[in-house]
Amino acid sequence: MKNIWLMTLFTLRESISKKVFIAFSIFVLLMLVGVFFAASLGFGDMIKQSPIGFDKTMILFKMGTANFVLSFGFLLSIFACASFIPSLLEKGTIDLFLSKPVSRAQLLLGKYLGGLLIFFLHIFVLICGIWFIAGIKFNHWDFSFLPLLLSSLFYFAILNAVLLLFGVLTRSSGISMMFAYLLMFVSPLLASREKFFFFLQGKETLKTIIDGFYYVLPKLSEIQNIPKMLALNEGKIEPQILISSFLFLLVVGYLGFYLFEKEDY
Amino acid sequence: MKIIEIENLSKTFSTTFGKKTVTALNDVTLSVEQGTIFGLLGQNGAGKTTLIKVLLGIVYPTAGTCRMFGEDFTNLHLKKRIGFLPENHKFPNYMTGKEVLTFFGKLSGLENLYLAKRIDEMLELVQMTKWSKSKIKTYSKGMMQRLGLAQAMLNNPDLLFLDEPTDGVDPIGRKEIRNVLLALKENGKTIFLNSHLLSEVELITDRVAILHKGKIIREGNVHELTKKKEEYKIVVDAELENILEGSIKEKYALQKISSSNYLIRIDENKTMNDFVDHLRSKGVSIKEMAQEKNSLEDVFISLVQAEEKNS
Repeated sequence: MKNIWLMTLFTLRESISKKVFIAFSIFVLLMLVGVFFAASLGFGDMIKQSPIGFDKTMILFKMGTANFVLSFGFLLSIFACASFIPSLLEKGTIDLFLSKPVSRAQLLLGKYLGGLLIFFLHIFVLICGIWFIAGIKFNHWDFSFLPLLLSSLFYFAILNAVLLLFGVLTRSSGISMMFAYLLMFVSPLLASREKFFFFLQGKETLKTIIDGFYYVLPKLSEIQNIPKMLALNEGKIEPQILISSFLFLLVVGYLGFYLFEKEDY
Repeated sequence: MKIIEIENLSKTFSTTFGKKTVTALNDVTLSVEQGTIFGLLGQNGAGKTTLIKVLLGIVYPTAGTCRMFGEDFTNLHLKKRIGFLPENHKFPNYMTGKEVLTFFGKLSGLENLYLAKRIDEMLELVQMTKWSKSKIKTYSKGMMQRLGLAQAMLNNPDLLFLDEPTDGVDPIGRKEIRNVLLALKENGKTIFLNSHLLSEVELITDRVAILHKGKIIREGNVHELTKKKEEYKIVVDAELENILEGSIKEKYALQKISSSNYLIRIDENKTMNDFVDHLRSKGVSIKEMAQEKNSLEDVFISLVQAEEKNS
């Protein structure tokens, strides 16, 4: 446990030194300043007079703002964390780490958790910041917005597992980033696949393949939508969204650890 | 006591999709005694680094067994007793020397108080104290090697693996490193040294093994490997070619190197006394007499060339 924590802190230090942490922090700060100004533009009256009710409008406002900002946050996080595994595996570096009385799994887990910690610290400030701004500007202190923290963490845990697997496999941060971005891009398309099935009439095999991809790959857009559904009590959350996404995280993560364990360096 | 025991160790690397294989180690068997400095010699690509990496669990062997401290080499806890200086090591360049040592010391499982004391000692030993608060990115190659050595010795290891430890270090620094290694040996530590700087290896190692294309082609005591069995250099106060009879000169294959310096060949030990008696009977005073030695480099080159011819 001590070794994992050491590696996690080492990753944090790496991100600070590479100015990634500070860039991420500046981004979060700018976003919060932007949200603060947006909230000061006289939306208060509009929200109070909203036909769907103040509470619901506030939740939609906060969720919409947070999801908009988070979409950039995820892009930035992938960019920030993609180099952590390849930098560990660099020739001359990995030898030093593997010669210490630390298991390979601990080294990798520490790096993985380091990425998650960096993400969590910023997202915590961002989401709590939006919640706080909405609270002081509109006197709306509803806690139903905060599960967005957990869903975002789960969302990024999946992307970080992809970074880990491709980092181990290719030792390239560029390739790892490409696959993580691809997953982010494909996931919402697969979620709305039925909308474009109209164009695939008669091509049942292709539809089945697309369906297959949907069920195998994590449901990122649905995961991000869960807090909103919970807050507004809208519809029923399908357990398969969480189960299949969690299984994907486990399988991809395990594969990364397995390959790292077996590889010669 | 044997600290390292390697039996029939082989390692084959496969390229992508296994189309091509490279044998880095081929049936290597060797052992290293406690409290000795063992040198592994070989050309670039001979398999020296691979052998160390196998012992440290960085590379997995294809076949064979290894034991360290009498235990299976895969036991993770053994690494607490091992130090390693890799070739071309890369420390995080945003850290200072002291931070690097602190981090790797903690990773080695050292307690904070002991670690702080040990860091100061090691920095002092490798003469890096005044640079300890500078960032790694400002270090020269020699300074990196010194810090690497400090890092390898931080946990006070019983077994130290050094891969080209004097690479990039100036002559004074090299001598200092040699002295450090000899002091460690005096304290009962075992050192496994990879190097292609043969003159240096010759100065400090007790035993060496020569690795060629993954195979051990010779292993032995440095003194045994380098001595020329039958030739002696002799320094006298006279011109022997004028004093000795033709038959004696022929018997001992007398060869003049320079004024008063001669080379003689003696087949058996007892004839050495005959030769000395003969000189003394002629009133020649012997100033110096020493067995001729090959340099390790000569031995290495001739062995490698012979191996190349055979293959």
